[in-house]
Amino acid sequence: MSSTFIIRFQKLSTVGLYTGRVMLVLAGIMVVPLITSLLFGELPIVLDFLVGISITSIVGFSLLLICGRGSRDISWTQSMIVVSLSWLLAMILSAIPYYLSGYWRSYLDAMFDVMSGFTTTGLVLGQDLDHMPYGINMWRHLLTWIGGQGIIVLALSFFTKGSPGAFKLYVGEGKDERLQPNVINTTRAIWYVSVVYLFVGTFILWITGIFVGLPVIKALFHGLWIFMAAWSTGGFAPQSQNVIYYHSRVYEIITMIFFIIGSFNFNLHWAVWTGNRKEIYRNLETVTFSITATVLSTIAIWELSKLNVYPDAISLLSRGYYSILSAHTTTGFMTIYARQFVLDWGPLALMAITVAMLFGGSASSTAGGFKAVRVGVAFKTVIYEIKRLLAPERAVIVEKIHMGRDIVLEDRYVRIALTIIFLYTISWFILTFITNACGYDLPSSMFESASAIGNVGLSCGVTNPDMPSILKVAYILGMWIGRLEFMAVFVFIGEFIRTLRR
Amino acid sequence: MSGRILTFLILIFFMSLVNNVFSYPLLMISKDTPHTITDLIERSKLYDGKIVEIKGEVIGDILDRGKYAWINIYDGSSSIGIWGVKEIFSSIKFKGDYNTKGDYIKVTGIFKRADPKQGGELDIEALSLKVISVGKKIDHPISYHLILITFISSSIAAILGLIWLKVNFNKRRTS
Repeated sequence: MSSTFIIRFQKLSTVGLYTGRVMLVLAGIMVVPLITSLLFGELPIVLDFLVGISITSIVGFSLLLICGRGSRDISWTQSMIVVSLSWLLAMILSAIPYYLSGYWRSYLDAMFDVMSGFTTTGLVLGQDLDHMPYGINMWRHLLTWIGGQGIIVLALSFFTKGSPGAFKLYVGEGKDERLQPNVINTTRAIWYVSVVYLFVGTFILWITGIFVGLPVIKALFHGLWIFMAAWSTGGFAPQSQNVIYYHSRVYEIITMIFFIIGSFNFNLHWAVWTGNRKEIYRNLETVTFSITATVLSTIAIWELSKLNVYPDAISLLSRGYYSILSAHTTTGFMTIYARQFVLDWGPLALMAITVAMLFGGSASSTAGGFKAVRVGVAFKTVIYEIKRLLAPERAVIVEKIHMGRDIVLEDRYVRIALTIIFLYTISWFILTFITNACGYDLPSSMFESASAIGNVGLSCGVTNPDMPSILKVAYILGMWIGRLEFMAVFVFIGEFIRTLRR
Repeated sequence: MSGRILTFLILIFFMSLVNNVFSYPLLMISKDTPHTITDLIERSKLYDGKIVEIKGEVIGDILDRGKYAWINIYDGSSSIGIWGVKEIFSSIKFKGDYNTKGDYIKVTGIFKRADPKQGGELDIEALSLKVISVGKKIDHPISYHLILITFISSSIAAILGLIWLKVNFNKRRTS
């Protein structure tokens, strides 16, 4: 056996070892919907999940047995491949219970909805949501809740004992906050914050659900699922009408509060959690989000008022403002029917909501899109350049941003921010082109593509089981790339091409 | 002659009270009824404020709001919320979920593109409701193939799990 082959196998083994662990974690998570199905006597669904757990465990154990000699130390390239590969495998394996349940027309549709859940997008191809069993609904919402925090984050939090490559895997999944000195403690802190909010949020929505007319048990589960979808900015809901189903302004306002909080940076959560409340007003991301949300919602509301789409201020806020915030936080909860965006909203309002979807929420949160920090840095750079041009030649201009502490705006921050914004924009153009080429009109194509690439989940009607398969694949890739923020996927594709060339 | 006209007008007046015809502006039942929900959404401006007739399955729950209530119905194309006086919905027995096929009903009501009473929701204010066919419990038979696949896959997973535990145990013992 040549030494090159042994080295290559060693590298692959490391990737396989970590991926195998993540798959076992995934199999463990499937136990939750299985128990839910058991509780509600949904026996066929219990078997669907048993098959899902078994096959996922087979893949996990096989990888661990084959790649058992892999190193626990992992390089940056390997970590990126582990993240991308884990997400792809997780998509394929998590779709098993979906497909077996019969609520998805094809395996591709099932994988689409899994990727939509993991990436907290919220676009749906599942059929007959109103007759879906509790177990499947639990799985849908659990996927989006876990996807929001990150599958790798979960695996690192509870199933590793501080392996040396933990931080690299963590960054590969699009996270970079350091709440604690140690990355394992940081991931646990993220879960701690999320679980506390889960209990509080579920309780509030449970009580509200009872008041809006849901039976007690159903109100509890709807409260749990709607909270999961709001906090993770996922936008799934147990009924086909999404949030409209509840016909309650109070329910809508509560979801709005939770999805706004969910779209904030975990660093900000931690700062507030540990007593630093001033950070809310000073943080670059909250300031940027406040400005862009105000400007975009003003544009949308002005257009909606001009066109007399809604009869009064409450309707405008309940439909217009809610939709803009749902888009901007990349949640995707809907208080209007999908086609109303195209049919009722004017071009300016449609443009405002599309831009809101692209801008997205905060970095290191469950939200997607460009992220507020990058939009903020881009604006700050413009201000810096104007100041530099106006100042005397010898003057030294220093621009600062506040992200937990004051940071001097250096070229490298600007470069990273603009690179990601550029990549998002290019991907959006490509996805828009593909959608348009599939026969959809340009405004709808732009809207739906922004929704997929920004992990939003609002739909103007393009996403449905009858859409062309090529478009489903394109949107899966768009959601995946958008969630992992390009680098992990690029490394994965690059390595794959390099392997093929050899 | 004028007496006949007067009698006719009085008759019309009382009929209107019974049928609520004059209590809403711009009312007329569209000729191409019943409508699909998708059609109503697609041509919402055309149907706004008009009486429409839709058929569909009751899904979810009757959401009690004191004197009024909401139901949601699905007609195979889309779902829509219907609100009205609680008594209108009293004939509904089965509401669709995983274990139940909901009652299939016919609703006549006023379609609102952006209902000001409901915070701008697109909905139908029910005037009358008729149960066309009563719902039923749904059986979910377990397929023999699924049981077989479950047995085989869980057996393989268990064997692999045991092998992995053994390998790990041996590794720890040697190190």
